[in-house]
Formats: sequence, C-alpha cells, structure tokens
Amino acid sequence: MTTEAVAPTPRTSGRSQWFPPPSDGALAPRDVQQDVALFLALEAEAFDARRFDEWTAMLDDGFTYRVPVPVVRDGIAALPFDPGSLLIDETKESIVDVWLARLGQELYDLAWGEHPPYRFRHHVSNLRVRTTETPGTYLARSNVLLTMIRQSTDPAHLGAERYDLVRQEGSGWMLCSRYCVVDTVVLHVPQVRVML
Amino acid sequence: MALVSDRETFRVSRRLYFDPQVHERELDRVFGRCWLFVGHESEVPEPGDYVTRRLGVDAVILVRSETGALRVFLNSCRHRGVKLCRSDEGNASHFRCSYHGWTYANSGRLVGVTFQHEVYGGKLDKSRFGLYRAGRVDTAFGLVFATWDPDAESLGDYLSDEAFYLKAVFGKFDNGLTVIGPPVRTLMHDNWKADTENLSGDGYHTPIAHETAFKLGLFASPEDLTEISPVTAKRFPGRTVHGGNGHTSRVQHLPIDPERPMFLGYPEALWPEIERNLDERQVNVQSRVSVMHGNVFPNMSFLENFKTGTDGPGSMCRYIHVKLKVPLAANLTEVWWWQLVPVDADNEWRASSQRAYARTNGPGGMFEIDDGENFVSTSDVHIGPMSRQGTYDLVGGSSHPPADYLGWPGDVRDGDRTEHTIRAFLRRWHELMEPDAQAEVEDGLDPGPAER
Repeated sequence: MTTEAVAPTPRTSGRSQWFPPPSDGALAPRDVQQDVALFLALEAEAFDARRFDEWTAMLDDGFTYRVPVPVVRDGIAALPFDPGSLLIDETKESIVDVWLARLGQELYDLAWGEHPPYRFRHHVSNLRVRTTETPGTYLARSNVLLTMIRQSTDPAHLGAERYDLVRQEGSGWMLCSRYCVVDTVVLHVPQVRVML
Repeated sequence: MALVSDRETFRVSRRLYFDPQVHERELDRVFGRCWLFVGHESEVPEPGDYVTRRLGVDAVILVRSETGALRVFLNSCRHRGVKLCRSDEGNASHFRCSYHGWTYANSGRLVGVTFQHEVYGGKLDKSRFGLYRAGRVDTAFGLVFATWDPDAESLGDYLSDEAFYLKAVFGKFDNGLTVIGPPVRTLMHDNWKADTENLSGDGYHTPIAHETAFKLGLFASPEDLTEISPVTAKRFPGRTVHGGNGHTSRVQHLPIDPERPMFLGYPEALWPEIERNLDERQVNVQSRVSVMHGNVFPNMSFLENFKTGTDGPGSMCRYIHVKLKVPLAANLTEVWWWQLVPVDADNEWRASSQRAYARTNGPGGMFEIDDGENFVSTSDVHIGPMSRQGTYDLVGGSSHPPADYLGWPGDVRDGDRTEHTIRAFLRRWHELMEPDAQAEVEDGLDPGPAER
C-alpha cells in the first residue's frame, strides 16, 4: 500500500514528519482483522462509557496521540493537513496525568469546561489492518465519526481517519499510537481536545 | 439605554454580547475603520505567496507581490464578485476568476479580460477594475495589519504605547519569530468580545476558571521557583496596562528577584539577544515573566506564557500565540490560532514549545476548554427580553493604584485581578459605536495621567 498524497515540505515546522505512516505491508489475515476490530470496538466502548482505568490499560506505555492541523491547500497531491504542526500531541503519561485527572472525582468540580461531562460516541468503520516490519505489530487504519454532546445542545460530529499501531500481547492487544487526520478544517466541535 | 455608560459606575448593556443590531453596527463602525490583524510575515515569505483571511468579516487575500510588498485584496472578482482564491494558502503570480476568466496580477491590477472585443467592443478600461484593496497595509514586529480606511492614521500612531509591549513579545529576537504551520480555525458559539475581554487582561478569572491547572502543576510552584532564585512573595505580582486606543496588556511576573534578567523557558543561548534587542524597561517587563497577554484593538489577542510541567515533571517552556476573533454573527465567532517560535530556536525546543502550547493554551488545551465554556454560556443565556434589559457593572480593580514608578508607557496599574483593561477596551469600542455619546462619558474610574 502506498499513499497517493505527497507530503509537502513544511517550511516552518520544527518536527519530523510522521506521515505517511510507517507501513506498506500486506493485509493481515482474517483472524487478525477480526481481533483488531473487536479490540477497537472495546476500546471505544471503554472510553465512551468513561471506564478510563479499563481504557488506559489498553494503551502501551509508549502510547502517543497526535492530530495534525487541517488546512485547505491548492494542488491535486496536496495533503489536507500540515504534518509538521500538531493540534493535539499527547503521550500516555500526559493523558493520564492531565486529561483524565480532570475527569476524575478529585478535580471534577473544578474542571469547569468538562462538567456536566461531555458525552462521546465513537462510530468506527472501514477497518483495514496491515502488517508492519515488526512481527505482531499492525497498522490499523479506520474511519471514525465522533458524536459529541455538550449539555443539552445538539450533537456535533467530527469525522476523521485513524492510523493506529496495535500490538499483540499474549492473548490480547495494546494500542501503541494513534495518528488521526480530521476531515474538518474549521473545527466546529464544542471542545477540540477529543480522543478520536 | 446607552450601550456603555460610566457616569456613576461603568455599566454595560448585555446587548453588546448577543444583539444582531449591535453586531451589524460593529461591522461598519469598528471593523470597517480600525487597523486589523491579518497574518504574520513568515506565512508569506516569497513573492506570490498568499493566504486567505477575513478583514473584519470580508474575505481577503494577503499576498506578497512580485516586488515583495504585502497587499490585502477583497477576495472577489470585480466582474461578478466570485471568490478568486479558494485555498487557505498557495503561491500565484495571477488570480484568474472561475466564472468568466478575468485575470488579475498579484499586484491587484486587472490584466486579462476574456473576449473583450466581442463583449465590450474593446472599450473596457481595465485600469478601473483592479481588485478592491485595503486602504492601508503595514507591519509591526512581523505582525501584518490592514485597514479598509485609506485615511486611517499610521499603524505606529494607531498602536500608540501598545507598541512598547508588542516589541517585548514579538520583537526581541535577532531573526524574529516564525509561525508553526497554518493557523488552526475553530468555530465558537459566542460573541467575539467575550474572549477578547478575557485576553485584554482579566487576571481575576485565572485562579477560579483555571484552578485545575494549579492543581496539576502547570503553574510554577514555590518549590520550582526556589530552585531558580529566592522567592520574594507568595502572590505573583501583576500589572495591567491601557496602551491607548483600546489596546491593553497584562504582565504577571514570577515572585522572584534574580540578580540578572532571566527569560525562563527560552533556551539560555537566546537570552543575550533578548536583552540586547529590548530597552531596559522592556527587559524589566520580560524578565521573570509568568504570563503576558493583551489585545490589539479590536480583535487580535496575544499571549506569551511560561509553563512548568507540560512535558513531565521539572520541564519548563514558553510559547507565544496570536488569536484572531472573526465576528461572523452576534453569537458566532471564527477563531484563528497561530503559534510563533523564535526562528533561531532549535528543533528540540520548538517541539517542546509546541507541546506545551497544545496542552494548555492551544485550541485543544485545557485552559481554552474552561474559558470557552464561559464564553459560550454568556451567549447561550441571552435570547430574551430580560437579558436585553440586563447590564453588567464592570468596576473591578478601579481602586488599583497607578504603577508610574515602573516607568512603563501607558496607563499602568498595580494589580491584575481587575476589569481595568476591559473598561479600556469598551471605552474605545463605545467611542466608535456611539460617537455622539462621548460628552456623557466621564472618566471617573480610571483617571488618565493628566487627572491624577
């Protein structure tokens, strides 16, 4: 698999490019496809149900979560985002220590922007799992539509493509990284800090 | 009722934050006249580089022409009004309309009209149909501003004393600042003034709205500071400034008194040039800064922040950002977010600064989540006749004494838990919106230097 899009050379970026994703492997066997599909469904369930301890346990210790800045560029081959600038750039540590800490009982009353809690619904589809150079580690590309509800307002929806690296561990799976390209340029969701 | 009255108190009608009639008048009287921020020079470094923006709410093209001059044009063909540039950014020597093919040089001149002999009998005077352009365009410390008013005062006069503070933030590095990628754009269901008033210098909300950030160690703690320099006080000293024409700043320092200027959060290799490029008073502003933010009236806000713990325990960093509030409707704002870094900062520092920003004051940062909820809710509740009659009395900090001893320019006050800067912002706004009401306004709360 190769991606048709060509990453422009970011003239201002200070970060190494992550995109295109580090794999052009073959499609994984059907049982792996099914396993990963179930894993991602359970991961979404744990997050949406706010079972964050269970969700965190699915993350590899080196987990990173990155969302590049979307942009409309001219040119057939132009990427609709800038790989060199990140809207979200988190690690497992920063997610646990900051994001999730704000959602916990101890800080809940002070995390004004997040109570009453936002409600999230992940709709995950079009999963394609491919092999990587590392045996047991796979690139799982999927489409995600996140429904987000703030208080009693109408739901907002954010579509994106996810590039997840997942790793087989024993009989289970771990999420090693998530790189997520959002479809929307003018972000209309009530809160931009979202796990897609 | 007047929109703003400060005869006895400083009273503001709630209509400012949700009334479509007020919004409509703002577009003309405020955004149609003032100098407005459109971008940063580093976004358009080469001839032909362009970005598409909004000047007020009008769609514009900011382009560097072949001669290197920066120009701002209405993004609209003179023939039938069709939008010329549809991408957010690009490079072009000419703009060609997709409807009937009229073509403009990036200097704005109409250079090509299709079938002109057949359609116009060869009588069309192309020199009369150049792109509509901003009345004036100029830059300050890499920031590009434009105004629709060709008779506007110079940018330097417009910025007034605020230029001193802008230089301290944007003009302190030998090779300047550069943007990190394209700006992020978000849509907020709020009035553009809510966010703008906050960033004007509201240090009152910080301990409440952002209390979780204190609990999570994102503000320097006494332990962090003791390792840097002896701690001189418990409270972080803060000052607020009216720099003229409604431009404002808030400068909050760490409670330390180091023997030499310290620009904490920047690589130490860059400290000597900061000291060299700023005058003594600006060094005093910048050294030991905890946070510095403010507005260029009407809708550009800036923020430079020193943060700890954003990259794990013991980490320290700084970031600069610019936020533009495009007033699409009385209760709808498109917010544009730029992050800026010193051109000469190394990649590792840049990455750390980007992370610190993304996790705190970036579009997805925790500060913005808490602030955003407050801004949106002030629009949410305002739809009915009761709200229309309601008012706010913005008198906070009116007892704060002048801080003339610092020698900083503008009206500088000791104390940053205040509404001093909001009053300055709204007074200027009111001068433009209701010029006939000027005679009623008495400056009872914030006497100018001459009255003190």
